[in-house]
Amino acid sequence: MLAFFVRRVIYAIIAMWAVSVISFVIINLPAGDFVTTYIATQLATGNLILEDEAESLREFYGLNDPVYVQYAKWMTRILQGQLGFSFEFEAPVRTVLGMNLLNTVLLGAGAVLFIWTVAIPIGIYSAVKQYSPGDYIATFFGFLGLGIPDFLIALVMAWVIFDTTGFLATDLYSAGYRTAPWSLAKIWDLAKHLVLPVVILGTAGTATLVRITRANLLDELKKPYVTTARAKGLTEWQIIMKYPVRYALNPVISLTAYILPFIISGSVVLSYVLDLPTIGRDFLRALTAQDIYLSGAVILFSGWLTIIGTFGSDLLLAWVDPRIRLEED
Amino acid sequence: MVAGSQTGPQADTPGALVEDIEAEGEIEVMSQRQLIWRRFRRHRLAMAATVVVALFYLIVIFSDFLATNDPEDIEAARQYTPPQWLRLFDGWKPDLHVCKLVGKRDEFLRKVYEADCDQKVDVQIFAKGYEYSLFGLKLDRHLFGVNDPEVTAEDAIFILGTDVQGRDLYSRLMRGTRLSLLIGLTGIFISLVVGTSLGAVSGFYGGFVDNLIQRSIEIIRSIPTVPLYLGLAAAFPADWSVERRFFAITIVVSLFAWTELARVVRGRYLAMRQEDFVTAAITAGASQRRIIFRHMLPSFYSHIIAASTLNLAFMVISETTLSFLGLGLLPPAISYGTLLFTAQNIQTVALAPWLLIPGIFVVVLVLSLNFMGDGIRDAADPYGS
Amino acid sequence: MSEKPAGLDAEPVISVRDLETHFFTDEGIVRAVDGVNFDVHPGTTMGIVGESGCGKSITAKSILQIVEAPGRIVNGEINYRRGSGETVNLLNYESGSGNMRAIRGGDISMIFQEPMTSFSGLHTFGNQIDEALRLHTNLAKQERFDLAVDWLARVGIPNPVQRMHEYPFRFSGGQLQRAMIAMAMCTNPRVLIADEPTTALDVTTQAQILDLLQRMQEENDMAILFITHDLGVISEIADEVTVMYLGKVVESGPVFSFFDEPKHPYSRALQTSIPSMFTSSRERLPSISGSIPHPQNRPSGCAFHPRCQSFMEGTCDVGEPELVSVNEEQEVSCFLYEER
Repeated sequence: MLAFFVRRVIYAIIAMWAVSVISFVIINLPAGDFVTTYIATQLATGNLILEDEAESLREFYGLNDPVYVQYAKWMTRILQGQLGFSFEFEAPVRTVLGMNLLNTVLLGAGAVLFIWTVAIPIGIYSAVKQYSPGDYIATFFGFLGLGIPDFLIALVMAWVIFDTTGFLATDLYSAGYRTAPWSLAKIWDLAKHLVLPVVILGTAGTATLVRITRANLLDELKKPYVTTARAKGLTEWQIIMKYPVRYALNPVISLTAYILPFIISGSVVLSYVLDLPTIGRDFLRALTAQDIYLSGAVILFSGWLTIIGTFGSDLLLAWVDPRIRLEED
Repeated sequence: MVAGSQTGPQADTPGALVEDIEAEGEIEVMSQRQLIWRRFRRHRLAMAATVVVALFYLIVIFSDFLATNDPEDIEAARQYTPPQWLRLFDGWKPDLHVCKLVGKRDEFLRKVYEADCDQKVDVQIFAKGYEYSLFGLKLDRHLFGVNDPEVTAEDAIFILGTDVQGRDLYSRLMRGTRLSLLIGLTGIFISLVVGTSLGAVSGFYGGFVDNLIQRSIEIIRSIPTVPLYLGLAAAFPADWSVERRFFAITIVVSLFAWTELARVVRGRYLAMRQEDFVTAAITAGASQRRIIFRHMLPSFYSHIIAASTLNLAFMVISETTLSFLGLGLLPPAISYGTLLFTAQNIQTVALAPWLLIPGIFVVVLVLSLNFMGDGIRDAADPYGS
Repeated sequence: MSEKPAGLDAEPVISVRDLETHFFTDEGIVRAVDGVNFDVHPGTTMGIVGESGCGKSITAKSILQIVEAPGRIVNGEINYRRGSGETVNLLNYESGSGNMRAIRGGDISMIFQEPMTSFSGLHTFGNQIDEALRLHTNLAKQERFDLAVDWLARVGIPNPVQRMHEYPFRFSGGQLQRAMIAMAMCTNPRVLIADEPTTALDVTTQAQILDLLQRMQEENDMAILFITHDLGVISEIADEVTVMYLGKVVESGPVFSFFDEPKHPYSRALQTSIPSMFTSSRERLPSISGSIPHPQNRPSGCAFHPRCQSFMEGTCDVGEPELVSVNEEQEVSCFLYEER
């Protein structure tokens, strides 16, 4: 167990480092440094920036240093919590992202919970009642969820809701609560607004998970230990719930790690279509404006969130599977 | 198989009954390829999906022939024209036509079109239309359409309606299919080269190289693709030419796709090294080259095809998503993504729902590719569930 | 083995009559068990032998009605004589009914071929054995635990208390088979069905498990239905033998007569394919010519005729022989013994 844990921690750290390098490379890809871009945009709006002012900006952000020093400085600042300044929003990146990072986590976690609560029972039902009409319906919707890009699901669902009820399903807070301090009423308001995005975001993942749960369970149901349990005189339902379901849950948990990047990806697209205040929406704005600190931070955080989530699912897996938990160190 | 040619005990426990695995004469011997084909054919859904995918590729080749109007043709006056569905009969008489659109002014004095089924526009087969080139030939015939349509809506046909600039959605969809699938195909080619070679290297050398490649794949797979793609795509200067952007985006969408392929190739390679027929080939003194190319590669062709088919679906979705967000292909390029880009907000969709029709194409294509890929994979793996 | 066990004269505890279990597959119906008859007498061991695919395991599973889909019992009777002397046809119970489940693991227990995969790797052994006791006894939790520990000790597993809390992957194959026997025996079944319980084990462990089963049988006066393809094992453990070929019984009788005077050409062929002390090392061991036909490709007439040494054209490939008595003890299904 200890060896497993240590291995996973080391792996997570390496992955987080790799993601930080990739983010750094991406924010440095655009031609010319961002100070030049900043000056150009300022010029366009009529603000004149003097050359020595520009030079001091370059100095401050270390743009005259070699690349690896720039990376080291950037990384150090991020680890200290200084994420840089967003030129687009004219505020520190931390302030811009702040709340929205929490919203993103809420949305992602909500989607994972939704996927679990919906996909596992449907997957079990589909496997136990293989080839029943219910199984066919589940399989059909599963494939549909798999084939439709997230933004299309979002667009169509939001349109249908708008068309039938006149309700524009956007944003995560009602106008009155957006800046209000946290209260039960605000949480309730947020929960109401989260439902549609969570469902949309979870659809593709649910489809994948139903398929995997079903396939795994079908495999497990043929295993000898099920026959043993049957020969003991358990009811079919007791057998299924106690043994194969337990087995099938393992891949479900490890699959969550696999789905997580797609959920984060989906949340970016979804936030754009539904105008949700997540880091995804800020990200697109930052990208179009070449606001590098903001977009770099978003790439970095979406990658890190995924890695932390994956690490969590690994621990969960170790907790439910004695074969990993009791592994000799 | 001659009955009884097998002599000598095969069993390892004394007294165990002799079991003969060879089949009786009536059972034919089939090659690997025949077996896969036979199993694939039984998979009806996969067969149907393959036909659909083939149709999409016909569109790629004959997109201009299938189009009815010049996809670039702009006419503001006919913006957001609703679809004029093709009608095959007039009463009981077979007659290919659409209802004529009649221009009116609404209360805000804007020009709107309404279908008037009392007047019909006849649709001809092999109608004369805009010029295009196919296989190097200059042609002006189209599968169907109105001979020499004028730009006004009254005598042109828009079977799937028009967009905000009055361009014919159906014709644009034919063109868009071409670009979206070409991106996918080019991407497949790139990921095929990168994926199979890295997978083979990983499986062949093992050890440190294998570890390095495998860990890199895991890290790449743990990064959410959309932020990564978007970050990369945003780095491309907006003034790049359409072609340059096309290739850049293709490379971006194949960044992720090769990992799956490398994993499959490595996995199959490692599994196969243990297989009896490879051991048999080695014992028979076959060279390394011969073993890899003659014995091993053919047995995972189908796995590569399956993985590539599923990858193609993934790439179509990626391109569509990127372009939809305005960071992939940019207009005037026509792809599924740029077509859906015109249906960005709910208000527009509510006004002109037919703008989502390209989405239906994406869904049908992606689903068909998924079914086809699953079918090939199941057929290729007789012992898999 | 030399003396005849008393149980053979008693009323059978299980009497299988005309059992037919078919598999309804996409390719057609496979008659895996096609009219099987045999009796199991109290306190004795009935061995069922046959090659893979002859339907012996399906027969065993049919008794407990745990045949997996698409298999279905379509005909026959499985008469079980309770301790009280009352006889019931188990096939009158629905597979999922409480009555049938009370029989499974209670009156009739079963052990399986692969001990490694026959336990759930995600549950402790104690959890899995407790389940059997919870279902079939009224004991309290602690009593059940003590009883399980007691059984583990009886089947020869060291440190039984500690073992109760361990997961199956910590056990060796032989230990797991012992543990499975303990799990099957702890409810004091009247019949134990053993489906190739020694096949996956090495020879030494095999012998130990057979000894254990015989000891359990003597201590608990229990009948055993022992399924195997291994004639060596049969000769050690069985009192009576039933030979199956392609879903049908071809011969049955006491174990000595089977080895001394096999009647059916198949039984004879089986025995000559075993190496013996008297076979010289240079001699090629004869094997049964041909191979088992595909179940869907069942030969006409006597299913064994294409491989039979005594094949009689116009007889064996035309009609099906019936199981008839050839003396007081042996029954055989072959035209060589049928008056035509």
